Amino acid sequence: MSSSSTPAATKNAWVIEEFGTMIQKESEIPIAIPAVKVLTQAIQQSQATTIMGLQKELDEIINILKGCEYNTSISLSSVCSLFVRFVTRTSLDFPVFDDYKKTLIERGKQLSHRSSTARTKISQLADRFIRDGITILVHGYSRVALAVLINSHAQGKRFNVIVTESRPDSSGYKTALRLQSAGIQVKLIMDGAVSRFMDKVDYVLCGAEAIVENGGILNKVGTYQISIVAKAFKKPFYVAAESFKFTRTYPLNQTDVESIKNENVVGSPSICKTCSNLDKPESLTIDSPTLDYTPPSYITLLFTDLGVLTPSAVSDELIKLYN
Amino acid sequence: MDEINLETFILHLKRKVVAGSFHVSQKTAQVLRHYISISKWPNAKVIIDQIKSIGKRLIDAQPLEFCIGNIVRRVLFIIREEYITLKRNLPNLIRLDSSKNNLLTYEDPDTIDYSSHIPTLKSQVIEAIGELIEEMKGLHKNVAEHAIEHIHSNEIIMTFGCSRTVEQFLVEAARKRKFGVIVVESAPSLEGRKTALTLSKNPNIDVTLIPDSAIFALMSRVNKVIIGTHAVMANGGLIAPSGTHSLVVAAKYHSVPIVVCTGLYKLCPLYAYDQDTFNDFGSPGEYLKFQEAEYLVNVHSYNPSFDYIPPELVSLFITNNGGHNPSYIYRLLQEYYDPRDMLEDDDEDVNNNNNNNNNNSEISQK
Amino acid sequence: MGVDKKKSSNHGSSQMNLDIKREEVLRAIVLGDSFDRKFAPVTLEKPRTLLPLVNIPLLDYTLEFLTAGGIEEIYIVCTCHAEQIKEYVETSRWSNFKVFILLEPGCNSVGEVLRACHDSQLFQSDFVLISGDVISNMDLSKALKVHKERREKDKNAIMTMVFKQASPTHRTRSKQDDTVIGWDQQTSELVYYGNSHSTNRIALSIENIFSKHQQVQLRYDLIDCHIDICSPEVLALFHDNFDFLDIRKDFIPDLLSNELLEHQLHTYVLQGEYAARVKDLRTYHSVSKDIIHRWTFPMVPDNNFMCNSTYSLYRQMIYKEKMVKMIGNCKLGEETVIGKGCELGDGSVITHSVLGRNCIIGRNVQLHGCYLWDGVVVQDNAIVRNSLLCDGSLVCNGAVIEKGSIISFGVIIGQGLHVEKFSKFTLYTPHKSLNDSTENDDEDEDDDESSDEENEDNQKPDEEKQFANATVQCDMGPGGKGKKWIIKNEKYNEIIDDTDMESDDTNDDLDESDSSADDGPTCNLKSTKNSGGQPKTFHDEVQATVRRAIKEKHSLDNLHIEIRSLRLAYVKESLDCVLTIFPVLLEIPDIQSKTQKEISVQLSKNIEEYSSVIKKFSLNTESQVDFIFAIQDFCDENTKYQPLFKNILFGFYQKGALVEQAIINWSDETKSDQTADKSYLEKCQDFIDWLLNASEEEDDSDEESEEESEEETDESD
Repeated sequence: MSSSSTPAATKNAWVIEEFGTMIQKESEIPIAIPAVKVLTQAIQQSQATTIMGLQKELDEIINILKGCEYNTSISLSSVCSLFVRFVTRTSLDFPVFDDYKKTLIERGKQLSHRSSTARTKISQLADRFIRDGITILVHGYSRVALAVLINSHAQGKRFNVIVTESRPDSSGYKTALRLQSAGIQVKLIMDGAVSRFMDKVDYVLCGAEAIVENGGILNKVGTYQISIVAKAFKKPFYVAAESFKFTRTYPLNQTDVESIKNENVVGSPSICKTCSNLDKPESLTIDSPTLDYTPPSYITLLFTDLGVLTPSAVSDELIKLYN
Repeated sequence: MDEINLETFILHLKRKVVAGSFHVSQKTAQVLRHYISISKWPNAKVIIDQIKSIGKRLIDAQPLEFCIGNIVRRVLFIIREEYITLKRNLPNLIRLDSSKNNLLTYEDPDTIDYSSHIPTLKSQVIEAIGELIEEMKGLHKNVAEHAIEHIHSNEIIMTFGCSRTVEQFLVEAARKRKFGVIVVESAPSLEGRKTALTLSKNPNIDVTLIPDSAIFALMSRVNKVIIGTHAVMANGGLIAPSGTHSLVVAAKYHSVPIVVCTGLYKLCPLYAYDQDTFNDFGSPGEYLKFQEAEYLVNVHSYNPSFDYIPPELVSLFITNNGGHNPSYIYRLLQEYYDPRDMLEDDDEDVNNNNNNNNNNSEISQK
Repeated sequence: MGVDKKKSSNHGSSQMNLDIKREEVLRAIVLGDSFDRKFAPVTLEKPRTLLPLVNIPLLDYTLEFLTAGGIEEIYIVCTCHAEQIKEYVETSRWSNFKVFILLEPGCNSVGEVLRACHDSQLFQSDFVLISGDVISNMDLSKALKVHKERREKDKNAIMTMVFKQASPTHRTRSKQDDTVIGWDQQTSELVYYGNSHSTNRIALSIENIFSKHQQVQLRYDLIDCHIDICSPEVLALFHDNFDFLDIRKDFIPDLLSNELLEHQLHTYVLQGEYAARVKDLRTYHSVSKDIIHRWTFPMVPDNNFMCNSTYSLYRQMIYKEKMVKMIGNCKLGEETVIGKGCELGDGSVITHSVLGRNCIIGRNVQLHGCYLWDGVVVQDNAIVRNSLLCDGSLVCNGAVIEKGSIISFGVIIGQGLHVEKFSKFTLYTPHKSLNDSTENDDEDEDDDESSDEENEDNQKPDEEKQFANATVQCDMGPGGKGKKWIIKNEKYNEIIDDTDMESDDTNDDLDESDSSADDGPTCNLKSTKNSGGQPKTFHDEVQATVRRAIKEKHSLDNLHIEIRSLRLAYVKESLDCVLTIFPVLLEIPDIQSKTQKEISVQLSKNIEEYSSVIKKFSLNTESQVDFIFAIQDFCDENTKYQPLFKNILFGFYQKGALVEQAIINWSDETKSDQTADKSYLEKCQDFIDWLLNASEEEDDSDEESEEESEEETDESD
């Protein structure tokens, strides 16, 4: 046991170090890309001579990645399972191991390339949805949503953005600053003021932590209630997210969200500081979840690098993938 | 239909000499078939590119006649399919994965090589387009075949304006059943009157003609709303003649099911972004006399041609290959079109790409 | 005249000769010139047909309309700026069509153009005659069908004219357009066509009309669209009557009044379709509006029918091409059209305007109701209202341009300049035009002071002089460039205040500019309505002409033509001419010294010699009665003639200048009128009695009067 754990431990060190430097180097890139890169590298370095051996090694590395402190997003585990899925699928096609390994490396590179160009592609697709003079409500801090807006602005479209504060981490503030520095007209509003402003809004655009099997999304807490308000006002609710966020889970209600999160994420950001700083009696319970689940019926369309999809199309993709 | 000149066709489209989805689709398919058969091309790649550029010109000629684009995409899809099938049969070529699993496509779709020369491709493609044309010819009949399942005796059906598909659908049902039809006249074109006249010739159909304003009042008596459409969008929404939306909302209010009869050629892989994006405005002369207009100098007059109807308002699509739920439409799209053939302003996309890259680099620098 | 000069025409005539052989090719003649100067000074540099209307040259609308209507061969007849039109057609998408250019630099009127067309022998079947500035979405094939069917039944139905319903106050109707149409509703035959504004009344010959038609409708609410479906006979008629200059002014009235010819004209009133002609700046403005409001659908900007534009329609009737750069907080108001490559600066507001391509608008600019053609630059803080800015013009910082102004090609309005309303600026210099081959034709006409459509040709001989004085140097502000075009200011300043113009709503501001833009006679006409100053000149000029003719012994035919052209120039009735010329004809030198006998002999001689001139004006019975009264007045004034009244009457009757019915009517009228002077009636009572009794057996007078009197008798029976 110990003999086998020693090489695993050395590997461990290499993987986490590599993964960590990649993340630190480019803080803006989605976590999935370094993950895929690490996995591809692992295959390159692997001394395994059988398909089974290789897959076993990969599983170990994935476990290490999932367990490390850099794992702050569900998308890490979804991209890993995607990678594995693809490794096992490909194994049937190539009887010769060397061919197989070569193909895997090649496609691993393709996958990381595709993931890195995903935002560009999404921006292009979503650009058609942005007309001159409209008002878009944005919730939370989503790099994809930002990319979409900034790209359209660069195309000469003129539009207004309303950003929610997105407590508890005030990520909306960050979003607003970024948009403003890009020259877009922004207004920052309180989370509680969404329905107050909804009649002025043409549609809601947000990102996603994860896209689940039924076409719903997990996202920054507050997304669900915004989607409900949007529905009540009959405004479209759009989600911009890369395809590596497709996750094989099926939340049935909000309580499932925490368990999904706990299963997949290690380095959880601390809970709401402002809340906990309150001068409060010990007996008062404070719960400040970071994510909520938005069911597919509240989502109009999803902009992904696979194209613009309806929620039901998303679930179709996922079912096909894991069948 | 002998020689069809591409340029004349484009001109006819522009002047709306050729109008109406059905005719336009037929003509488009014929023009493309003719083009493919007379032009010389070494391989599939060349002809795909050519058809794409022709397609864009055709679409530009009548941007709101979505079926032009649909037919062009279908033809492109046919070329791709035929190419791949034929190529598979050739020995010593790399295996091609035609499974449409996007998430796992190993090859980037753009890397599929369409440049091999396959001598039989041309005849195969022409034959397949011929089948497409035949399919379109028969589609009214195919749609109507489902009529018996949906219309029962003594039901009251409401329909809107003039749609050949719906007309045949109702007539087909009337062969076996007796029922009532309320026809909405659909101002300002008043095409509903034509429908009423045609249907009234059938002894089994009891026809009532009403003005648009009476839709809501009569809706409570209606068992089913059956309408045609101008186009079906990728999310299952409709682009339908102006006025349809109010009909559909009234039906929804009274929980009357809404059935849309349409040929598959109207299935469009685009999204209607909102009420404005895909709309055309006709001459106000249709409802306002020119000599009266002077008294209305400060009155704006709009005559929009279409309504966008969101998918949740539609209960069922009846197409030439059966009934479908609106949420199933995207699935049909994958069966008929290739995602590489969206034909949306590619030139712009190039710019987009550049700009985007700049943006991204800016973002990452920050 | 123009007929002789036509040989200068066309390229590729061999090709055309081939075409003649094919029957039933649908052809159209497009008039490349309007023969007026309503768009001056703009049209000095660019032909009217190439002026952009909502960013598309007028000619394109016409050609698109014709080709869409199934016309297979189009002949554009060009006179002025012919090279420009030719070049445009050859480089545009029309080069793929059978669009031919006929160069007829010698033509100064529609009539000459049509005679040239006749000589070319190209038009042997029905064809469409249209002005090169007509916008329409009508179904031409339907009208053609109606025309053809009618013609199959009746060979004499030679022309169908298209009309569109719109009341006289309609914005799309030109202020000058006071057309009154009379037509038989059953057969849609045209029985009357007149422009009432010259007299404020119309003259109908009741017998003529109702002998043929049971019911006639008079309409004042129709716009003449200047789309005519003609049969070859029309050209032949123009060929035969070489004094016809214009269709509407000469040809139609002549045909309608001429009872000898059986030719009929018909009307085609559009139902729901659109057709209008850009006649002047006012209609330029209103047709632009019609296009923006989509009355002309499918000929709307976002249809991009010329295949070289990329317009799409946005809310509030905003049409925008791709690649429009809008910087910061600039506002596009409703009914705005913006071409490719435009840049709009921060804080600028643009409403109800049309911007061509590559216009650069600075910051805080206000444009309201403006027409900017390509490449116009408007710098920061400038304000432009209801004006027309031509290609390449520049408005510098802070300049203000008031309504109705025209800034022609390349003019620079200097910094902070305040441009008064209805100002016009141009860079055009007359010398240049003389070197310009296309303008040379102006000198050709000298003595045939033919009046054209808008009666301006009679000014042409001194045109050069006129243009030399047309512009003056003026303060264009710092950095400005251009000269003021002052023609209207000099001559017609006082007419601008026209009340009906001011009462128009503000949107029509531009109209004012154009009515003021109209040169000469058209404006003079307005004054005739109000003051009596005008007839004097007409009177003098006509009398001078007649005297000269008598003195120099011109042929009477020529005299008639000369007077006729004057009549057209001043928009007069035939009656006016007759009333003006007869005193001169009856004039006897040294009358005071002559005996009654001598006078009588001389008078008979005069009548013998000249009454055929009067006859040529072919007055109707009613006018003839007026004529007799005028003779009566004349005798009142000149006592020497008094005893000879009967002789005059009899003389004119004998020569066919007066018909029997007129004289009888006159006598009846005089009898029934209590206050009338009955002395003249008594003088010729025997003559009248003779007329009443002996109308049947009289056959001693010459043939024509006989025919006429017979006709009259038939009717009176």
